[in-house]
Amino acid sequence: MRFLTLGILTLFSVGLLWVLDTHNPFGSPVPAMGRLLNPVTGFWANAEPQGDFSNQKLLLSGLNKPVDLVFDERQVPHIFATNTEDVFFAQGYITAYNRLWQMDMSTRKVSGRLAEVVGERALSSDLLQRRKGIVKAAEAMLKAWEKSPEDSKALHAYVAGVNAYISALKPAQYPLEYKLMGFKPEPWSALRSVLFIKAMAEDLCARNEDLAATNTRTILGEEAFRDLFPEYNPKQSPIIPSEVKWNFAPVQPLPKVEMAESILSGLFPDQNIPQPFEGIGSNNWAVGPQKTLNGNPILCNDPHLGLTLPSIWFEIQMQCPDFNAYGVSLPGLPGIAIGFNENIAWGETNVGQDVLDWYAIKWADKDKQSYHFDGGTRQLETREEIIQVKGRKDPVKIQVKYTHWGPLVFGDSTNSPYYSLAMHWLPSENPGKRDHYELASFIRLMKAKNYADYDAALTGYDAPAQNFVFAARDGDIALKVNGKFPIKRKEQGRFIQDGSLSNNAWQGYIPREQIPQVHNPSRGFVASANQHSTDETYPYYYNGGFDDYRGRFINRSLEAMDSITVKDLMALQNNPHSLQAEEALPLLLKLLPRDQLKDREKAVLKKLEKWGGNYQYQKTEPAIFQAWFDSTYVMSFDEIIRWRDSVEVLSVESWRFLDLLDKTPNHAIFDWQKTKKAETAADLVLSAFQKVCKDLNKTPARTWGSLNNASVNHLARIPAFSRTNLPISGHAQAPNAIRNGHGPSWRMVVELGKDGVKAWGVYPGGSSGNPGSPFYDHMVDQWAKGEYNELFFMRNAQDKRKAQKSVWSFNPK
Amino acid sequence: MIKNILANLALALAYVVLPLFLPWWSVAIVAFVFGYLASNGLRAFSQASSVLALIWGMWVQMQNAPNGGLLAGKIGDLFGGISAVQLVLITAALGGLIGGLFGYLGYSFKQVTRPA
Repeated sequence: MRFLTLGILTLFSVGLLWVLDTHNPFGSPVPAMGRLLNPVTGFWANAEPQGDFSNQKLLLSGLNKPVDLVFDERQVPHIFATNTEDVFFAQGYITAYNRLWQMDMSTRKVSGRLAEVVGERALSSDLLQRRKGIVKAAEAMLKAWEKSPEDSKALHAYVAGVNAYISALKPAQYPLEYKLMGFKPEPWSALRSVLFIKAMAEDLCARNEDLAATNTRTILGEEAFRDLFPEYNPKQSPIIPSEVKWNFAPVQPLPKVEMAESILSGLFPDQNIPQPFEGIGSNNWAVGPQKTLNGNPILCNDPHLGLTLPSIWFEIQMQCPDFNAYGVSLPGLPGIAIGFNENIAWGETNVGQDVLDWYAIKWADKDKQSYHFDGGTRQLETREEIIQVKGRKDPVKIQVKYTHWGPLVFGDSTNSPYYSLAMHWLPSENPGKRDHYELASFIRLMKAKNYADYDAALTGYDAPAQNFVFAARDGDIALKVNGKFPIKRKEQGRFIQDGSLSNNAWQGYIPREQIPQVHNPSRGFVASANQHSTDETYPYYYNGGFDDYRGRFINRSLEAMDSITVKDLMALQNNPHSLQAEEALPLLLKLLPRDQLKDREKAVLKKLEKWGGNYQYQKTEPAIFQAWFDSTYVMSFDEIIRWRDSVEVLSVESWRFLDLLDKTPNHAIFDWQKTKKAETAADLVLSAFQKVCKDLNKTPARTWGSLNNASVNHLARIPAFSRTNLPISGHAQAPNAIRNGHGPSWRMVVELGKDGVKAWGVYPGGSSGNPGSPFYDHMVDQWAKGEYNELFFMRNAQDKRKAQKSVWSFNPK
Repeated sequence: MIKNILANLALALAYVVLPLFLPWWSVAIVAFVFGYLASNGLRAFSQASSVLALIWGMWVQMQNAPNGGLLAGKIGDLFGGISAVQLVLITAALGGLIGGLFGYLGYSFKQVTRPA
């Protein structure tokens, strides 16, 4: 009996201990509670004391000379090193100290290694990433970078710094999310850093509409397609002003090949290729001395990205004999991406040019392993991808198939109509031999003293292409639409192309001296907001996704402004005015037959008539207008939208929608298919308005803020670590481009004065990636209010002005 | 009496030191050994339990207080809206459960292996 009791007791006790030490016991979502709650290695160890600014001394192997890290009151590190390698080493160390889990997850995601740590639910995402050939491309890129001392030295010093931090980590110090998700950090690698650039490229230059455009053209027919989807908005105010003339002889593309009809007819079923977020971008501009009150050039940048906690940006100052630069870096990459030094400032917005094209393969054998090409045949190449899946004994193995164009992204089943589509994506191309690459471009900007340095820095930067804005203390301002751009004949890559002809390949790349660029234009400012790079006189064809409102609004605003101050430009960054609403509202109001409105509806109308297009979060007008606008849009294009459930189709761009409302309100597209009557735009505008008013009778009007739900979500979408429903005014088409979880991820204003540089900045997060740190999200509220921090640009490590809080001394071991 | 205080102090010390070098569950081994050496079952259970509960409770509160309950509040949210204070108490209770169980297990083990 005693033995039995003992047996049961032992079993129960040990069993309990096992449950407490096992992550997701019995398949439950519960973490290992004993590991999580115990005082030594549990989450408690991640609870950072409030106001902790302690000095530290660390011995680190891999360092050449002593390095000082000075922290200011916002816990921003200012690195002071005596040589270039040490400054990158220290950057790697301090970035990992703050953001290791984020670095790990972002590179796991892009390389298809998520299932390894989260299990089955990430497998489909991992499979897709592997089939896109991301890792293969990153390996080729790393090989090229290794041959450039400028890039590779910084890269390896950074990697060594990250690993110096990881190798000394004890389980108690693992970032919180490792404890919650039950996995361990692994050593960082140079490949991981390259993968991070690929992740940025996927976010910024992987949009592709070839399938959707091909489908839509098939559905509508050529004529209607051309009518509804023109490529150039005549109202456009391009990045490069028209005064810039193209004084060069462009490379001539090969003539068009007639495509075999069979490739383009027939609809491809919808497979939901995940697309990067659309309809949001970034702003940057620089105003020259003649436009500012005190004659100092001012540069501004606010890149709009998916807003996350930990933040996509890590603020840092880096000083060594080669440079002294301040700005924001991307956790995973050495250097500063957007920033300034004593002499210049720079920033980026994304270029919407389409650099991802699909090719339809014509098979030469029934097993679909070889394909026709220029009269001969070619064999598929394969690369095995092994995916470890947490909870599975054996890994998943797949053979990714490659044509010379690129991978068969949907190569899992030869029966799928998608099987025959090969993806050609610019960032997957072998970068080839050059004197420097992307990393060195940023390092050269950190060192740059003037326009010539800026010019030379950008030649090695390929992708993701960016509008690099520039301003210098000597008064120069400039903007380059910079990157590697394929030369295409008209409409090449707009639709799926015949992959059996070499004539359909990109026809080389636009020579760097011929890319769109502007230096000191007469209007006294340069600006970009993801709109078309040039007007139609630019001799090269390009297509893609471009902004139609922010760019025009910003150009219009800057044009009108004079005696500009830093405050004026901060106000412009935070401006919630949407040009789309400003232009659409009068059109809707003009078309609306007022005599058919009831009294209640007239009251709603009265409210709207007074609203000018400012998306203030406290107001209900923006929400009412948005509902009216959206609902009119949906009824107008029902002919196309009804296909959305079965195949991928294009959406008519909103500028074209407004154009149709304005110029051709009797256009056949306004006929609503559901009724027998032949509607005009006025009918749709009326019934949309009546519908909105009817909804308002049922539920009271919501404020724009509650509808827009401005949020900064945790990277793993853990609600307790996220900030939602922030009171902030803005709209995707306004300079303050807030839309749910997207928006200005860093707002920076830099004034390059004769007596020194002054800068202001804010991002919705904080230095620390640890939800247990007060510096995790301390700038979110400030950011929402549109406030800025004056950035503490230190001249040296002894620069003990008000902000210095603590110093960490790194010494070589 | 003094012997008992000394035993408790030794127990407390082992509870603190061992998991600094061994996995967190090494506290169960400490409780087991204490129970094995204890003079009766009630003492094995209650002292192994209360001392670990006290140590865990105090230890985590020492980390929680300077943090202002910031992280414990967020973790509590993850588990359905538990407050920081409640989470400190739950941690203490978990320590008490583990200590008590293994303390009594140690005692019972002695009873079986060394018949009176």
